[in-house]
Amino acid sequence: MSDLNCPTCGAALGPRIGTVKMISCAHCGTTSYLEDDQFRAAGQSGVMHDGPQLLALDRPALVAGLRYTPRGQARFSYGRGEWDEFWALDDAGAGVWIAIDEGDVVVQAALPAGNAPRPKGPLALGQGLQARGESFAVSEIETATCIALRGVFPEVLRLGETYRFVNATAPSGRLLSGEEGPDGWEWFLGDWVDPFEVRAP
Amino acid sequence: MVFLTAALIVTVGTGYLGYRGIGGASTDLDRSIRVGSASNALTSSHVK
Amino acid sequence: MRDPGQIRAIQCTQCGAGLDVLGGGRVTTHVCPYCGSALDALDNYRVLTRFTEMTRPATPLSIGDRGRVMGQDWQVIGILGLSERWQTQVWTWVDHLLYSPTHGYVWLTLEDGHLILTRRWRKAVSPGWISAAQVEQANARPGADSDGEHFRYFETSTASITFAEGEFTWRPRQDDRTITVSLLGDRTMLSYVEGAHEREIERSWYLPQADVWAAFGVTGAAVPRTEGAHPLAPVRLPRDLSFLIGASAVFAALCGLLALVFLAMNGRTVLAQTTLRASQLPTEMAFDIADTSRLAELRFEGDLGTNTWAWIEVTLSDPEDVPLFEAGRELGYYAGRDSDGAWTEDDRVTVIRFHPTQSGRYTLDLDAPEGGAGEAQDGPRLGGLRVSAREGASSARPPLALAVLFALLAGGLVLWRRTAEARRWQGSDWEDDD
Repeated sequence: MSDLNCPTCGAALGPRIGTVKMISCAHCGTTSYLEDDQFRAAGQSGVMHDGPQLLALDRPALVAGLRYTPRGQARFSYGRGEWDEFWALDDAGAGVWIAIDEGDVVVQAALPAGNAPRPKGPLALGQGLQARGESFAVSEIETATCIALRGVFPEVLRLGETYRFVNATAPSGRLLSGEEGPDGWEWFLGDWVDPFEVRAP
Repeated sequence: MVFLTAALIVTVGTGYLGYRGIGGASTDLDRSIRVGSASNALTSSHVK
Repeated sequence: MRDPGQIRAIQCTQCGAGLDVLGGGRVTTHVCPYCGSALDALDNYRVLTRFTEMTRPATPLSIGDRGRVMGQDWQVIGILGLSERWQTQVWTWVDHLLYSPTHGYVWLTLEDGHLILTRRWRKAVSPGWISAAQVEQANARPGADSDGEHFRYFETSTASITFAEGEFTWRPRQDDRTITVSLLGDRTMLSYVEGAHEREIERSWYLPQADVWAAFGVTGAAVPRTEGAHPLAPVRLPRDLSFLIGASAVFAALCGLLALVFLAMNGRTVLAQTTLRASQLPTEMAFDIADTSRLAELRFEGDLGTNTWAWIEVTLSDPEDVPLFEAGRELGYYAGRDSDGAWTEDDRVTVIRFHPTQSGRYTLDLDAPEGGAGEAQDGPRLGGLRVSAREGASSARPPLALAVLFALLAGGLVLWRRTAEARRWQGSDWEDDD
C-alpha cells in the first residue's frame, strides 16, 4: 500500500485507500477529488477550530470495543452548533462514518442500494421507513453546511455546500440516517455509542 | 480461597475427631472411682 | 459542539446583566440568574418567559464551577430546583446540568446530601418503555434489563421545577411536570422520564461523594451532610458474599453427610444382645475389646410397662480389674392423652459411650436397684433387661456441630444481605411485599 500525497503541495496524507474519492490537505488547505484516476482541485478545506475531541484524525480509538482509525473529518454546521463526521477504518479496512456531537456518538455504515429505503415523495417527521427488515420513524430533518474538511473521504464533499440530513429511529434504538445528494438519498445504518465507551486503545 | 481452605481443614479435622469418636463419650460417667493413676489419685484425694 | 470562535458572553435582553455562555451548541434556553428571564438562545436571546418568586435551592455549587466526574472534566452550566409533593410531604432536590464538549450534557443531582450522576441512556433497554399507568396496573413488580444489569421497579415520582438558572438544552418552564418511573439495579438506577414534550430513558450512578466534592473544590463545612441512606449508595458487603454463602451451605451439607456416615459407622459387636431377667440382677458380664482408638458403647433396653421406670447402675472395670467408671441411668416408658392428643415418652433404651483405655477383657457390673410407677418409687419394675456392647464406633457429634456452625454462618450471611437489600428498597413505593 503506497502513501497518498496531496496533488497540490505533495504533503503525505497517509496510506492510499481503495475507496478514497477525495482528499483534503491540512498543510496547504486545498481539497482535491479523484476523477478518471486524476486528482482535480476542488477548492479550499476550510478552517477546523480545534476544541477537545473524542476522536482525532489518524489516531486509532476503541469505539464500543471496536478499533477504528479516523482518516477523514468533515465538520458541519447546523446554525447554533456544529458536529463532526469522521470517516474511519476498522483493522480490516472497512469504512464507517462516526458522527459526534457533544457526547452523542453514532457509528454507521453505508447501506447498499438494495437494502436502502426508497421513500416516495418528500420526507416528513414521523414518517415510517424500512431498512434491513426493521421499521424506523423519522425523528429529525435538518440542513447543515459543510464548514471544514480534513483527511480523506470515500465521497466528494464540498466546502460551503448545504446538505439535507434525515434521522430515523427504530424501537431497538438503531439509527438510520439519510444524506441527500445529487443522485438522491444515500442511507447509513448504525447504533448509538456511549461516549464513555470511546477511548484510546 | 482462604475461606475454602480454612473450611476444608476444619471439616477434615472434625471428620478425624468424629472418626475417632472424640467428643462422643457419655458425659455422665463417674470416673472418680478409678484408682491407680496418679492424676486420679490426686483428684480423689482432693475430693475426699 | 460550538464553534470555539463564537461569542462567550451575552447581556440579558431583559435586565442587561452580563451572562457567560458556557454550554455547547445544543443549548436552547438561557435563564438569567439575576432577573429570572428565560432567553431564547436560538433567537438573539429574546425573552421567552420569566421565572417569578423562585427560591434558590441550597447547593454549594454555582454556575461556572468546574470538576472532574467519572474521568471527565465538566462545567456547571445550569441549575434546577425540583420538588415533589405528596399529600403533606414535600421532597426537594437540586439538579446541576454539567457540560463537557466531548461527553455532552449530564445531570449532577444533589438529594439529601447525596450526589448522583444521571445521563441519557441510549443503549438497548428491555422493555423500551414503562409508563406510570403501566406500573399502576401491574400485578407483579415491573422489571427491566440493560447493559447486563437487571432492574426492578422502585418508585414513580412527579417532579415540578421550582427554580432555574443558567443554560439548558430544552426550555424549562416553572411548574413543568415530569413523571419519572425509576427501577433499581444492583449498581445503578434506570429511569423512564416523561416530560411535557419528550420521553427519554436515563441511567443514574452513585458517585464517590468525597472525591466529587473535592473535585469541585467544595471542602470542609461546605460539603452538605447526607440524610439517610440513598438506595443507590453502595452497600458495604464483601464482594464474594454470594460465594461465601454458597460455600458455607455446601460445607454444612457436607458435614451433615459426614455426620450421617459416622452415625452408620457404629462398629462391630463385642457382646451379642443378652436378655437378663430382673431376678438375675445384679450380675456381672464380660466382653473383649481390641480397638482402643475409637469409641465403645454399651446398650441397655429395659422391658417396662406403661408409666413405669427403673434405675440401672453400671460399673465397668478394665482388663486389670480397675474400675473405669460408674454410671446410673433411668429407663422409663410413659404414655397418656391430653388436650393435644395421645403422647408417649419412650426412654426404654440408653447407651453409654466410652473410650477404652486398653485392650482386653472388660467386666460390667449391672444392677437395677430402684423403680416405680408414675412419680412413685415403689420398688423395681423391670421385667427384663437386654444388654449388648460394640466397639470401633465413630461419633456424629463433631461433624454435626460443624454442620450446624456452617449452616448458622450461611444463614447469618443471607440475613445480612437481606437486611442490606431491604434497607436499599425501603424507599420503594411498590405495595406488594414479594
